[in-house]
Amino acid sequence: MDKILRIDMSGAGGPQVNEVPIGEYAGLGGRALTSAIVSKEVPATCHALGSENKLVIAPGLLSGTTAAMSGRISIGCKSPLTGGIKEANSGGQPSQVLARLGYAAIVLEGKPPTDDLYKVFINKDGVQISIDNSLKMLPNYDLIDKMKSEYGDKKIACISIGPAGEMKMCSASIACTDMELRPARHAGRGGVGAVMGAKGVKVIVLDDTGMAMRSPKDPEKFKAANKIFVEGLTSHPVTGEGLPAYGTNVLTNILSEVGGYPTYNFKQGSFDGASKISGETQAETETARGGLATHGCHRGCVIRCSGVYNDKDGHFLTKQPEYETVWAHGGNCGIDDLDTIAMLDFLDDNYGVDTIEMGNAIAVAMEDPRAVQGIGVTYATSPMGADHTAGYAVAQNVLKVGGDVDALKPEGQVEISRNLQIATAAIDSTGMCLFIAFAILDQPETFQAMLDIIGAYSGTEFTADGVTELGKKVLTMERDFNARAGFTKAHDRLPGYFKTEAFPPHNVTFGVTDEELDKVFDW
Amino acid sequence: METTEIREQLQKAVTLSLDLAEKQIADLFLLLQKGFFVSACVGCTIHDFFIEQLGLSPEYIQSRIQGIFLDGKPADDLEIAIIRDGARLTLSGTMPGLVGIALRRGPLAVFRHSITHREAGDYGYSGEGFVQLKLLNLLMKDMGPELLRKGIYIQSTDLAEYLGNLPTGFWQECKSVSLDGAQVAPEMFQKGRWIPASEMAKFSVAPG
Repeated sequence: MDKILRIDMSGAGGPQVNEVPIGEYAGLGGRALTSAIVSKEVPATCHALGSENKLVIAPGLLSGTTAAMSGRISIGCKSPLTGGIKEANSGGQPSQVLARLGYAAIVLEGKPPTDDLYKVFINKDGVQISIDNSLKMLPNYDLIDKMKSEYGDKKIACISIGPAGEMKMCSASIACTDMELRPARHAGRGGVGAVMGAKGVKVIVLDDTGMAMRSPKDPEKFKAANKIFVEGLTSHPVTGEGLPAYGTNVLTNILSEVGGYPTYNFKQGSFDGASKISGETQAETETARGGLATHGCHRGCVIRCSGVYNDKDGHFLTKQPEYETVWAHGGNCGIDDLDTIAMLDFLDDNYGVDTIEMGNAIAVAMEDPRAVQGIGVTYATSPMGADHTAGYAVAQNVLKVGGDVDALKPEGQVEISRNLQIATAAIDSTGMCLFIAFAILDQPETFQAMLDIIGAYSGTEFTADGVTELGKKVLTMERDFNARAGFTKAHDRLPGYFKTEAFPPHNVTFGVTDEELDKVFDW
Repeated sequence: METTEIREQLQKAVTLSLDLAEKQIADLFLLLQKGFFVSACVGCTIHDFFIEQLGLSPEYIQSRIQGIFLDGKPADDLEIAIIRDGARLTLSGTMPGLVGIALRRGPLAVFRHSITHREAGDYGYSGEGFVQLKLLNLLMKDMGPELLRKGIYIQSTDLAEYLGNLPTGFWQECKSVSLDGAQVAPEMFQKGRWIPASEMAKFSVAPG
């Protein structure tokens, strides 16, 4: 991954392809690379759908190697939804395939002078870009079927947009195909699909036939660390048992119980129909219908928190809807029927819209941070906007970032949120799935194994301090971009009613002060 | 529903017992996620309830029960939080997500300090009573079989709906069914045919 593929869409004679050395961005991957390029090369005040914005697609540092869980891809740009910098993260096969093709990133630049729609094909022999207006307004599943018929279905992986992306809708996602070549994994947040649509690119087809797995600098240390890492993940009750058995939707019952489940457009925090749409019921339904309750979204995933949801006749309907999809289309819309939610998930994936945005467009709300206020701190201050994955990689008690925190004092929320955002930004840059957080939180040896994998890959000693510094570097770039785009501390706030309107059943309001929120990035 | 009202309903409960193959018990686990009642000696700490009444070991509690919610609030100190008559206790074996981690006992408890269970007052009434339990995810299969053998109280309409949705094959494998002490045909529980005679049912299994 020592080169970047830049495709300038604005040429009068068609897109211009430039393969350039990674240069000043060497050593960066995933979110660190997308944010570095966007922060440095995109004018912060530009129009997100204009020629000056860039769409950066970057596999993680470890993608394309044999490291477990390393198949996450980062897609960054100036967001048409938030107006700030954005990195949307996705599973699926493209990250591994793109990395094995040797690219640290694909950068789509400029704006095509016509409304032609382009198809990009990349393999070991190079890059082919062609106009294919027959793809216009094709939903993702139909599009991928067409790509399979053109390129075969053995080795390709696809990155694509549906009609929503072509229409430049701010909720548009970018689809990544999974192991079965289904466009079921999505970089959903921030409207990145609209930016791809603005570049006139419908689909990028990747084929790594003839390419080798990427090799670490220290293969023996890498292999040993990966073994310990996998053992840590498979032995932990969340990553080794809970997530594989029930997926992320196992949270529906739990959140409904504690009054933090989005229900009826956030009029209440508990949903009477929770048990009908819970992860437990979902897994049982999938198994009974011949689907799968345990399934990985990319090769090398050992957690396998996804699944296959079949309809009542046993035919594939969609991948296992995730927790966010289930609450957005379920409880928040008052729907307690899994088949309805699964159909909505399929339609979202097919037309290329983010399931959270779509569910909330119907229900007009989001996961409520009044019950679990520390998450509210992250929603308010993250440079990514109110993204539930922005402060996820919990390693606070391992990293001791910024010192120990008194868990009994509410003031600690700010410090922990800061630490979580730092850790998340770093892990997003490795290509590793954020769900490793549970094992590295509880098991120091698993956390050390992760550090050793990165160190062995790069041939250097990688420490917890290195994680912290990487995370701070990424956040600093992102905050700087947003400041240039016009964001101030006034934007690091939740809506005023969160402070005044009590949220049942606990009747709590958001109690973190503005002064405390302003301290999140004091380091 | 008020505690006294529930107590009255428990006393009038119909009794239903299924004689099943051991492997069939797993088909009943989802019944446990919505909530059921058990007779208990109340006015004790959660810790004592776990050890003395549910027969759990300290090692099991520490390693397998990640989420403990008393009356809808995360309970962190099991030796202080008190189970009073009619309390609702929800147990989870896995807590993914940032929000899941925050709801566990641990360093992120501060994230949800405003909804954390805080014990105030005395132990209240101490003696025979009932507790509403909800078993989620991994704990269904861990703790479900023993509780189902002992018998649980559950809303009859919920039980009838659940049993009515079980596949025909389940009832064909079922060895016998006892309703209020009398043997009845398993088929009467299929597809919503059973109309319970009382609000609550005491439901148990006897794997043969």
